[in-house]
Amino acid sequence: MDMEERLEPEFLKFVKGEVIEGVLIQVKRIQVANPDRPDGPKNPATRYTCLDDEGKPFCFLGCYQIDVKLRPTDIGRAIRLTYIGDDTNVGRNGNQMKVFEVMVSKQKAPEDMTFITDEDIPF
Amino acid sequence: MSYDSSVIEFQERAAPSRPSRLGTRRRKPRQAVSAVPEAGASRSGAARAPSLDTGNQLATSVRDWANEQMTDEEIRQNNRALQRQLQSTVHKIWQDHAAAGNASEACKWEKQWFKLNNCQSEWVGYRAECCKGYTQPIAVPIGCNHRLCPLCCYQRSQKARRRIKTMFDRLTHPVLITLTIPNRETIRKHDFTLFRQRARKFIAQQGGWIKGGVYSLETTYNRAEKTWHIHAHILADVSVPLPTKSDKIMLAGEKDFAFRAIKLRMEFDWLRLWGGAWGKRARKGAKQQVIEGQTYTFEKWVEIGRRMKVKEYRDRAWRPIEGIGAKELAMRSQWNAQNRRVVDVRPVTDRDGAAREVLKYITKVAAFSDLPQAVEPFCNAVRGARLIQTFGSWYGVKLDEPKGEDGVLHAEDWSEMSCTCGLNIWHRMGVFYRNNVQMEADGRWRLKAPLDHTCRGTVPRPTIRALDARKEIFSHDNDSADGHGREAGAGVFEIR
Repeated sequence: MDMEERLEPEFLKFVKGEVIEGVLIQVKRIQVANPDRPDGPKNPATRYTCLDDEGKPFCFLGCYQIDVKLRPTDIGRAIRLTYIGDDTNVGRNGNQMKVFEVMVSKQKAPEDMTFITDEDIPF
Repeated sequence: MSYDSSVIEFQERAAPSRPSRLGTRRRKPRQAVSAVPEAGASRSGAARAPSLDTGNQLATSVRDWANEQMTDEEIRQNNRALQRQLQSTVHKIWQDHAAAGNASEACKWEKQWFKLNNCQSEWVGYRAECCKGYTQPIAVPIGCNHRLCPLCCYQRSQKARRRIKTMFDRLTHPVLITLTIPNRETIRKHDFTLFRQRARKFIAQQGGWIKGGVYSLETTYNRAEKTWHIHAHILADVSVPLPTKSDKIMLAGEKDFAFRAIKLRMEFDWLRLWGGAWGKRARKGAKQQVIEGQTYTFEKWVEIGRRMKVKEYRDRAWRPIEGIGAKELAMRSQWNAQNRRVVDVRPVTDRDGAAREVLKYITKVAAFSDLPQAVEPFCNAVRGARLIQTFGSWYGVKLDEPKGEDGVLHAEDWSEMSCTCGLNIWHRMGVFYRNNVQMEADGRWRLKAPLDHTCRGTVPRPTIRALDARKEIFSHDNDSADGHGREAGAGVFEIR
């Protein structure tokens, strides 16, 4: 029997200019504790889990731009996120809005992750 | 499992457009579709099959999906966090005034801080008198009723939204109108008074078309420019629906959309209410010559407005106009700032969304609750100001939840809260502390076990100290010095 190890998704935190790419496999609402108040109430957040090009899982938390640009129906599609920077004109509670470029593949990723191109078709 | 990203075709996702004016987001008008195309007609043309995704579920963003999943507990936690933030802002204002030696202002803000601090720390218990043992008592919070308190604002908006929704049955052609004025650097109570007067006048001027509705005054704060934006949202029931996109009429010498003509006319009326070079609207019963003069003035304004365009529709979006110099652009922008007002008119397709839009004024204020320089002038300006008003056929409709004359809330007042037998005769039990109540899965608050319908409250009732002292005096043993059950010389009680 062929077995594969399931790894815990690596948690990514965006750095300005960083580009991440992967196939979206899960969108889940979670509760995140405030690091300044570990015993206080938790805040709701959205966690996105993706598989990178090597099949390793990674996850990240969503923010306004990511949440409005991605859809629950994007599960199974390849996504590419680029953290452009902060928008100083828009903010709440002293935090500025993070600006992302969000690219989503037009087609869903097949189960075996092989995206067929014209070159693959011999005729 | 691995894949080659270079062969994947990506498409960029754009965030929802942030219109330059406030109000409901502009949606692309629905294309005319037919279920069955004509014989020989291609479905790829204008006559496309209607989408089965009528709720547009496939295009729902994660944000909308997540908001739909939010439980009452999460909403409350969010509001609680915002309230704590507001409390710290009010505390800062209080301390600043105290440090500056301004005792009266410091006292005022101290009271506000205590109000916020004690908000929803005590709850009133109600039991169903009709079926005591079968219905668990419910708890209703005692709020602070502060204009900015997120917890109280949420309760108010929920109540008002329920009332507005019941009025929707009366609407034949609902329309959402947004009236705006240029941003201002300061805000005073007089600004709201003036805006309300002008909004009422505007509605009266449209009296032939607008039958009734509700309007609210919303205020937002621009952090970058440090300016205030006061605007009004009007949910109106009109006698004739807005014209469709295909209807065109002649306006100021050019063929234009009838809808646009109506919108421009409303904008012109709104602009003239604020003074300026365009005069005032003619009185009722004015001479025909005067009315024709008004039409001439309006068309002249439209004509000049067309020449002063700074944006044009290009590549499926509104973009800055090309082919004009910076000086010309600046001149046009200045003319528009002085002679144009942003007025948005749209038919209501989503009644829930329209109700939310009108009631946004209640909850939107939390957006600047972390800024003392915004909270203080706002609180001073809206003190005692009426921010929501019904008019016309809706006049007299109470948007607050009504109570019976005896203070008892009956079936029709309880909306979603119902007892086991359905009679809904609720009676007040007493006041309970916050740790005696809990929110249940359905979002309702109830008393925690072992408290039941026989309990009369956990918060001690306030007593008159004098009566307490008198009780102590008269509760002594009979074999005291004077034999009358009280100490000698203790005939008078002292009120401290």
